[in-house]
Amino acid sequence: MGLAAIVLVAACGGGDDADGSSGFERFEEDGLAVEYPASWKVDEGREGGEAGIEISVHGERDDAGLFPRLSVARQEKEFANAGQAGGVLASERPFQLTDGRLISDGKTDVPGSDGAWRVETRFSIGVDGGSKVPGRSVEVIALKDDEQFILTLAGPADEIEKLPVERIVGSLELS
Amino acid sequence: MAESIAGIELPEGDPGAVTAAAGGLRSTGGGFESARGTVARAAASVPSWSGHASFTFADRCGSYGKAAARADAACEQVAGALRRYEKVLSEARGDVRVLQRQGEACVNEIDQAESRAADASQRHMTYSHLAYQAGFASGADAGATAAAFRAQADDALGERDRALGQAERARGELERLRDKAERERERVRDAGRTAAGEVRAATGSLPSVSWLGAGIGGTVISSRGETVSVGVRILIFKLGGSESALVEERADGTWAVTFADGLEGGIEADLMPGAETGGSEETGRLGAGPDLQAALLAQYEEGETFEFESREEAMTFLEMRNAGPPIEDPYSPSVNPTQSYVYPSYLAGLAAYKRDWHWAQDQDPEESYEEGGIKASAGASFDFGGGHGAGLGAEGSETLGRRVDLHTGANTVYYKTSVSATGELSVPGASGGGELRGEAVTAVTFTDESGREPSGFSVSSTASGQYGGGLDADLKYASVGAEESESVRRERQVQLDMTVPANREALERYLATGGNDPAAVADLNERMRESGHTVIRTYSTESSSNTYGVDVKVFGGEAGKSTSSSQLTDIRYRPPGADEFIEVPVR
Repeated sequence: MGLAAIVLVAACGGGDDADGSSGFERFEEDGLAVEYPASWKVDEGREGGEAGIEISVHGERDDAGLFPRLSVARQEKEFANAGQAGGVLASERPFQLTDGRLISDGKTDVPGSDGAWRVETRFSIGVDGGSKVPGRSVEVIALKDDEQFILTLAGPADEIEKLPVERIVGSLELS
Repeated sequence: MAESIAGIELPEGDPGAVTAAAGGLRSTGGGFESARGTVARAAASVPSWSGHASFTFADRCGSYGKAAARADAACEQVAGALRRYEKVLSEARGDVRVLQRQGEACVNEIDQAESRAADASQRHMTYSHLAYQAGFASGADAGATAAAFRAQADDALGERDRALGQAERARGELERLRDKAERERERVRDAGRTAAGEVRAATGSLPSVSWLGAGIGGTVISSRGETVSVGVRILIFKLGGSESALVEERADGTWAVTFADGLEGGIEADLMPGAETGGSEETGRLGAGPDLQAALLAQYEEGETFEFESREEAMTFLEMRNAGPPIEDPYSPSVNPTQSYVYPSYLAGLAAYKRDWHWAQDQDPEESYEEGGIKASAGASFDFGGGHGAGLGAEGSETLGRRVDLHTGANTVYYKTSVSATGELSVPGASGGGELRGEAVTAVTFTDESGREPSGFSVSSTASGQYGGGLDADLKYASVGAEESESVRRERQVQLDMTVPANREALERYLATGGNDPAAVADLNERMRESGHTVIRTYSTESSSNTYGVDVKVFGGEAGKSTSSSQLTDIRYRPPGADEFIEVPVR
């Protein structure tokens, strides 16, 4: 297990909000790299486990007490190719998530990977009092050698929409 | 290895086996029980019939048996191709045997001629030498003597040349025979390729569905006495901790061993969840149709299935897989510090143990199971900090687990779904009093080749008779499995051909909406009505025990709970577009 390196990679703007304008942190470990807003908090307690979470970070809570979360999992490869992985992921998520609906899925590019698939889903998040808040997730499953990596950026839809989603999701690199 | 005489090889193949295979395929039309083995034997009887053509046909015909007329016709078509191939093979082998005998005579002739040539050459040398010596003699007849020796040397030379010529002619004849034999062999190869082509053509006319009946495709069978009966026989072994092993006999005679974590809960609980007996929460059943059983297994933490040729192999594997490693060196100081004499009988036993143990460790699984779905779905990525915390946990429909075929790379995802009283998919919670309480499982397969596109889809359902408490005798409305009494259960499986674009599109819409969109559910139900292959299996159980279809034995001395068994008593199949079910013979 290599040491994780987290560095401030950019500081462009004076804001301190969760949209990334205050800069990005870069996480690098054992050939995995991903960037997230510098103001986000690292959830070390959520790392590891059966899902093989390498990094889990989340933004500030909103008025309903919810926040967006970015996690990247490293697992033993279970699929023959990115298309098959994407097919399974795209069909599983609507069944796993409350009121789940697949928005889109398709091939994507992850530098250093053998192939990758991007899946976007909307769903509902239950909150205290029984009400529901719209949620949205953007996920990328990337295969490399004998491993698969799953990046999940998800949370309340209105919070996700404020984020530089492409900047975060597009920062995933494998080497 | 082809039989070779005088360098002439017989065309490879066994006409008797081909004839038997063809006969078997024809008889497959009269009984489905041996279809898979018959097709496998047929495939093996034609050397050219290998690879894709063989596998596809075996999969499709073997998986279809006689239940559909189209499968019968295709099997008959292939039987015809086999008979034509057998005729060519039989004739060619007869002709080549004659050529072999002729070639053998040529070889003898060559040997004899070369032997004579060698003798003559030796005589020529001898007489030439004598003639030379006689030339030095001074006797009155010295010249005549030398001339006589020269004449004999010349005769020997002539005889040598004639023998060499004879050998050359025999070689030429042998070469001609070999060429002729090679042409015969090529004729057989052509016939084999033609037969393989006809197989491919026949395969193309077969519907692409998996086995509809018991046996092939995962349902297990048992043999009792001299009658092959289609039933269920599963042995469950508790291995310690939460791990258990299932040992099952399959219809093709193979045995499967599945290790599953957490399964011992299933032994104690009713394996018919949904029934009135207060079963476990898991969906699916052991000893049921392939999708229901796989769905059950896929809900446990993880598992692997290994396949074996015989029960003995399966049991040896189970024993050795859980036994300690053998002593590699009985004279090692760590195991034999006093260096005591090791008796030969012990060494022999140790050698057998080492062989079996290493064999067991070297076995590769054919399938693996994983609960839930892709591991990242375990909640860690979908916790957003508020209220109930996660978006995970759909109501009604959910991902049960996934099975991976480690040979083909195919991934099959199992979902728990809801069915209506008429056995069709329904939106969870939206069917009112018509919704059945039983289990319903959808299975979606993604293969290596098709990648993103689903390559298979089926819905399997069985229930506890909420709808009317029984079944109509003519199965007119028996689209849902139901429990007629404590000893009879029915299950329904509908499969959709994913090569049909309309089917695939309907499934895509259904999946994209998590089974919760009424319009998408209605579309998929429509496709299943119009294009689905429907199978209804009826099981009879011999015991009223809560433990269904399971012969329980506990490894390690803990008492088992039940020894009940179940029997598949009826299979009915309805092809796409048909109104009536075809009764598939079961004996």
